[in-house]
Amino acid sequence: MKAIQINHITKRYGNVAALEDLSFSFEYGKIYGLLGRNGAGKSTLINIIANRLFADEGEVLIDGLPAKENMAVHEKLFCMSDQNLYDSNLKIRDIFKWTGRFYDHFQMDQAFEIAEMFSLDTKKRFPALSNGQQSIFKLTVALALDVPYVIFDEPVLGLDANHRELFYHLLLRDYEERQRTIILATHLIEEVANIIEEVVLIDKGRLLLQESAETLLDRGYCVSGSENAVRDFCIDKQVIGYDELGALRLAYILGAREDLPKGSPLQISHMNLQKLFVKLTEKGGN
Amino acid sequence: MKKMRILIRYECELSWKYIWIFYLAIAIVFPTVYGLLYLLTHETGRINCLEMNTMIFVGIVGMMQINEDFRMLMQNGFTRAYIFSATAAQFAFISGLMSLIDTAAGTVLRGLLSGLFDYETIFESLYGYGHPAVLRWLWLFLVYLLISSLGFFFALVINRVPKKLSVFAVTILAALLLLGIPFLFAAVSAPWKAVGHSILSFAVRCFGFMDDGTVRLTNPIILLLLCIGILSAGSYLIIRRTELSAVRKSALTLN
Repeated sequence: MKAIQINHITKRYGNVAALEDLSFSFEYGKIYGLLGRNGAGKSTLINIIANRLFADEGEVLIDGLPAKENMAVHEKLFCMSDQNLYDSNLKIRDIFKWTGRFYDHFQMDQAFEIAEMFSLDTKKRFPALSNGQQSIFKLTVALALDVPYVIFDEPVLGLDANHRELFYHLLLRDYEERQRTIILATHLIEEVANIIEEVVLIDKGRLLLQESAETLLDRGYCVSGSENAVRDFCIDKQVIGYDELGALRLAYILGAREDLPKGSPLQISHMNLQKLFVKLTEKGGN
Repeated sequence: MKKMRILIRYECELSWKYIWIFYLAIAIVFPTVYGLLYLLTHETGRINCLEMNTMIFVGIVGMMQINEDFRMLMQNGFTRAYIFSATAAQFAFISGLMSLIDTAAGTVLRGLLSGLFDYETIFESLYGYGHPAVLRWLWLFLVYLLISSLGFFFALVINRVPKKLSVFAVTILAALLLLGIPFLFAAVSAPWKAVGHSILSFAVRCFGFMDDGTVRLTNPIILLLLCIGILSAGSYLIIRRTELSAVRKSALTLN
């Protein structure tokens, strides 16, 4: 099976369970959003997939091969970490060079091209880069590496809006050119809402849901209009949050979308993924 | 095996630079210091400027492995078994090269400085002169390998245990060594006389000094190989269970 299979993974730190009997799959050829609140267990899961941490129970399989201490999966997976793990004495161009030696499918030209697009100085050493530049370097390596599964753990940490846009653009361009599995673990949910195909939501070490982004967004909808009109419409409906934009009021509602009567002053639009995320995780579940 | 070769190349290529920086520093600092001393005091005597410094260098290299290279190689998807093997190869490379340089330099310096200073290698000060150069190199190689392996093992242990516990353990170990060795010597005249004497006599034989006054170099070589083997096995057992989160980033970085 072409997938990353998470089979009954449990990881404890003392008495605290970071992950509790977690089971699901990241299928090949999709863009996933791995979402969860701080401490939900996202990074622990990513580190177990990447063989940086060991699960207390369960196993991770990559295309049917155990991920734990197995060089056979070396060319299958790359994990861009939010931690700084690179050699502090190497220049960026030297790290590119060594990454090209470590992996059979590292696109050196593409790495330098992306670095140039981000104005990343490849003559600098890794610690000399700002936080944002370090993130740029790490995502450059991940984008230039042609492996079937790429995990981005907080890829846009410290990046300004222009660079974040550029990253999302490059990510989609890369996905169009060579289909593979991309897993995005991020807190900037609204920014990736239009990119991700499937959402994996983890809360308190457990899988809360795994659904396509489209299905998830169809779970609810957003209604906007004047305050009174919105209030009247929302009676007997499950409202998960409100926003106000001047005189305009927006209500986020869970449930099947209802057609508005003709001439209604209200407007209906798609659910806000972030609102849905907040609602689903605020009490640990539905 | 291709990946292993690349990994070993990575470890050795990066070490190469630091080895020459080290020798450059030695080549600048020590002639200056000893030259000034001679000019100011006109004192001559026994000197040794290479091996002790190399021992400190390889010890630091051993300790730094877990902080820098382990993290870098885990980031690049290598398994702990691969990282351990490449690290062992790096230690062998550094120890082999540096012991070769130190042995050769020791011989050359002894000739060059005769009349001014009595340059004496550690091997010669322990086992005397006249031993084959290959044996001198082998002994020094194993000593360096032991020190780097010890540094690596020590760093792995420190990373595995909580910081406060590691400080406590090191203090206890140091106290035991400080008290234990004098006790061993004191035991020669105490009720434990026979036991203490046997231990000391065994230790002396292990280092190659036989009861009849002869030197048997195979003994220290076997002892060093045994210690390296035990430390390597211990390091492997620890590293195969070491998680990335347990590796503390040190402020001191070398490689």
